[in-house]
Amino acid sequence: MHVRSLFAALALLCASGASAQTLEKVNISYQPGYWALPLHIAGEKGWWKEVGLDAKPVMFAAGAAQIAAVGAKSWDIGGMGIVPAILGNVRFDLKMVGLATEEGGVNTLYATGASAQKMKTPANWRGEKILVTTNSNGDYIVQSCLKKAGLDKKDVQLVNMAPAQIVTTLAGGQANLGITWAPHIYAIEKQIGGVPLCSGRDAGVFVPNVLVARSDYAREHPETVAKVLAVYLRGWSWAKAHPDEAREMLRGFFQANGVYFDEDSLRREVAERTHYDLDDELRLMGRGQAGASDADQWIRDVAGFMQANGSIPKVPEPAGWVTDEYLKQAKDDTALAGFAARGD
Amino acid sequence: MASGVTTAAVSKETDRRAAPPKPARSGADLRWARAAVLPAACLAWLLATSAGWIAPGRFPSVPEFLDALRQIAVAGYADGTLAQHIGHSLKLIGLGFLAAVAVGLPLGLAMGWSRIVDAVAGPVFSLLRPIPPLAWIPLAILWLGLGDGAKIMVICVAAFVPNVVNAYAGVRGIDRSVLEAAEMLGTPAWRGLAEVIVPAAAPMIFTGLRLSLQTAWAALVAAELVGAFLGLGRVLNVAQQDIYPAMILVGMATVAACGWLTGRLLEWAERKAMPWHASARSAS
Repeated sequence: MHVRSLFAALALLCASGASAQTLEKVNISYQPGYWALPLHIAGEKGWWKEVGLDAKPVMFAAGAAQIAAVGAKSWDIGGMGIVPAILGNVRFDLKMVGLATEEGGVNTLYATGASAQKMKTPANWRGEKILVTTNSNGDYIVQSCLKKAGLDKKDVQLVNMAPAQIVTTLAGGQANLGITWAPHIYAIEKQIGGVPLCSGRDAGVFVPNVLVARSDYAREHPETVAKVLAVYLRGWSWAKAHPDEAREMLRGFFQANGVYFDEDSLRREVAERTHYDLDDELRLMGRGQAGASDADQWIRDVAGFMQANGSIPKVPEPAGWVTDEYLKQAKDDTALAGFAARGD
Repeated sequence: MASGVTTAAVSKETDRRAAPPKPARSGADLRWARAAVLPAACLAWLLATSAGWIAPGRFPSVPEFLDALRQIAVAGYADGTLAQHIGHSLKLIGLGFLAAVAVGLPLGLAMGWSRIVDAVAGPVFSLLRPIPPLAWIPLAILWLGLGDGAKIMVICVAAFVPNVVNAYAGVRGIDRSVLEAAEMLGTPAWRGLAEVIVPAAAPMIFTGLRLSLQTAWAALVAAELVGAFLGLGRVLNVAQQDIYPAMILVGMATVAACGWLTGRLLEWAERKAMPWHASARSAS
């Protein structure tokens, strides 16, 4: 196995002609989130050079700013939540080229305060203020939770706030219900004693974070997109083979971006998400005979919610912008496929 | 008797001091120029976006703007139609502005009129004045919750300052001889305030009201950034999250139109309140 990996690495090095002179520049955008860990690991381990790339990280605090930067071509390939990715397609013709993680388990509606236990019965949510970041994964999940409970968004008052404000407002007691995502949910549980009511998983919806590329860039540099995907997937392979080291890498990645976790929260960050290998990605994004992939259906559901909110005029047809062609390219290239699977 | 030196005298005096220089062009010429600015800007916008001088995505085109306007007016956006958002924002502006006038105007007059009030309230006001209205948002939510009260408070805090400053300056700027004449004629204090001081300070007071109204509109967007259910600030905030430049422009244009309309309303009130004053006449 080791000998095979070594040969694969050597073949890749030869194929990409990696040297200081020939490294291809690529701007990779991401946010300080668990799903971006493979990109951080790749930088720390020097994997970009191994595939002949000189990757420059471009960090953003949130998806909206990341999308706005597409207009100025500030980055080429990146990762983000599905909601900004759909907006990115509608506004700037972004292409979705892969899946990062599934986030339904860490987007959770919480109840706080004296009435927290009472709120375990969804009928008691009626008339309550629910703090939510408008048009986020949390917004999609809370509306799915309401639907599952037989309620409508008109039955409650959805109050728009940024995640950090949701935590402070719940702590101040100005509202008793709020939905947000990791790492903010750990603060709600530990500092305010929040009671979890409904997550994306509970509501039965899939909320993926995804990998995207600018359409013009992907058209002109298909090999680079395939290489970036291979490097990203190698990050998960490595994290799976080295869980303790990966947790320390994650701690370092978060701390470098001003996010601090205790041991328990860090363990949950790793445990409560689903991520994929190359074969998983191809299975979930491949259209095959059915004509629509699993990912197509998740994306259609999220886009339908965004259309109902008035954020986008119509649901973009996934076949027009969600593609597995770069994943296939990585799979068909023995060296890249081997690279993506390496756990060392 | 005291009225002999009151409104008429004060108005003549203020008129004389505030008389504007003769305009270089006639009023009719300027009216045409004013009326032509907006259509010219719209035409330039139409040309620039349809000819491709401005890249799509950088600035919305006229059809995109009209589509967004139709969407918010008919189907609604950010949980309300345009009429609902305007109505809600006008309610917040109206209440915030009135509260600012109700507190700021008497305080400014009192500080200008009485050295004691100035000595007591002046330092506190000077300390509070530089605090940006946005900084009050967390406290406003803590004190008044997530409802409209917090937003009205933020608007009030922002609009309060120009009222105090201008009322104070208006009183302090009154010609001493006018005050001395009123005092010499034995005008009672409250009558002096109502018939000498307030009319004399009125031009500055109205300047303060106009500035206060503009500040209130500027603060509205900030006030509605957090926890708003409806309103033009919410529209701008959601459109920003949606990366929807055409809707952002609709929100901005609506704030501008509402600000202009309320400003005209205030000018009308100014003309009614001080028909004798040059600035009121020129506004008409």
